[in-house]
Amino acid sequence: MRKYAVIAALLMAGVSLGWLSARFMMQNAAGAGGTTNGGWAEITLTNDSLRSTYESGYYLWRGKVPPPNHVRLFRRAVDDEGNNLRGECAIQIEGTIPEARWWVVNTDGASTSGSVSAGTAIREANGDVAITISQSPVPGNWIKPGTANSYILQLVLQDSSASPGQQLLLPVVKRLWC
Amino acid sequence: MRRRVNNSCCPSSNGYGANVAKYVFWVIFSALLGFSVHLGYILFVPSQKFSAQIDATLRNQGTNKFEILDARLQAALMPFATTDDLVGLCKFDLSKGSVKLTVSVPEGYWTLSVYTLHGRQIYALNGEQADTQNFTVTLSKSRSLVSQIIGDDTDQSPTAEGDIGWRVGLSEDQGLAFLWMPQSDSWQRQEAAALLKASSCGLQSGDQS
Repeated sequence: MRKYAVIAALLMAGVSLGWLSARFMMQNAAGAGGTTNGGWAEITLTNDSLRSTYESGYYLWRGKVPPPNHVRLFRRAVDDEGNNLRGECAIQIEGTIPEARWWVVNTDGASTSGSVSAGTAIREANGDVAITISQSPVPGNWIKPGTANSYILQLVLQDSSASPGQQLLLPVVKRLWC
Repeated sequence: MRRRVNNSCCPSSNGYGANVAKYVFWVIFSALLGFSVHLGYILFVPSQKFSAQIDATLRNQGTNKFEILDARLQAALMPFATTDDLVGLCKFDLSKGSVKLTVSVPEGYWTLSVYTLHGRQIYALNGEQADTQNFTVTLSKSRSLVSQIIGDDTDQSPTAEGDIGWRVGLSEDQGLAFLWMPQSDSWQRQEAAALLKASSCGLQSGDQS
C-alpha cells in the first residue's frame, strides 16, 4: 500500500512541477525582470524558436495579441537600481531612442494610461528624449502611470533600422522620488 | 559436520535492489510526465485560452467585416498599441470561401498583420513594402497535402486583372487581420479613421459556397 502511495506522490509531483514550471517560465519570458540590455529585456517573436513560444504564451494567456514579427519590444519591471516600478513613484527615462520608423514608450499593466511616441515626443537639442512617469503632471514628456501598484515599462520599436538581434543602446531609467 | 550456509542476506538484498529499481523507474517516469505536461501546457493551453478570450472580447464585431476598433479595446487587445493609434480589424472566417480585404489607407506609417484565431502570426505587410495606399489582400484556405498531390486546383481563383493585391494561404478557417496605424494624437486618429472607413472585408465574389 505504501509503495502505491509513493508512486502516486511521484506522479503528482511530476505533473505539478511540469505545470508550475510552464507557468513560471511563461510569466518570466516576457521580461518581468530580465536584465539583458541595460535592464531592458527584449521580446522578439519569430514563430520558430522555443523562447518565442514562452514569450507569445505570456500574451496569449492574457487574451492579448502577441507583438508582430517586425516589432522590437523592450520591457522592464525595475529601474536601473533594481527598484520595482511602482505607480506612486516617479521615474525618468532618459537617453537616445534607437532609430526606427516609429517608436512608442508606454506602460503595460492594469489601468495604465498615456504614452510618448515618435510623433509626440519633445526632444533635447542633441536628439535625446527625457520622459517622466509620475502621478502629477510635469513639464515636457509625461506619462501618468495609472493606479496600478506595479507596472511594466515598454519601449516599442517598429521597423528598427538595426539588424535583428543587434544590441542597441537604450535609455536609462532612474527613480526621481517616491 | 556440514556447515549450514546462511543465505538469508541474498533474497532480501535482491528484493531491496528490485524495489530501488522500481522507484527509479517511477522517478524517471514522473520526470518524463512532468516534461510532457510542461510542453503540452506551453503549446496548447495559451492558444486555446486566447481563442476563447478573443471570441468573448470581439463578440460584438461582425465576421468578414472591416471595423475600426474602439481606442480602449485596441489598447487592451494589443499591449504595444496606444489609445491614440488607429486599428482596423477584420475577423474573418474562411469556411464559406476566400475573404478579400480591400484597404484604403491614408498616408503615413501602417502595418497589416494576419493572425490565426490561436494567436499565431502568419503574414505581415507594411506601407514601405506595399508602396501604395490602395490594395487588396485575399485570404484563402491553404490547399491540403492530399489536394496538392492529386492536383486539385479548385481553390486557385485568380485575383482580378490590374488589381494590386497579395494572396495569403491559411491553415485555419478563422483568424484576425489587424491594420495598425500609429498616430500622434486623438485628433489625427479621427482624421485617419475617416479615410480608413472606405476599407472593406468580405467574401470574395464568385467564391461563395
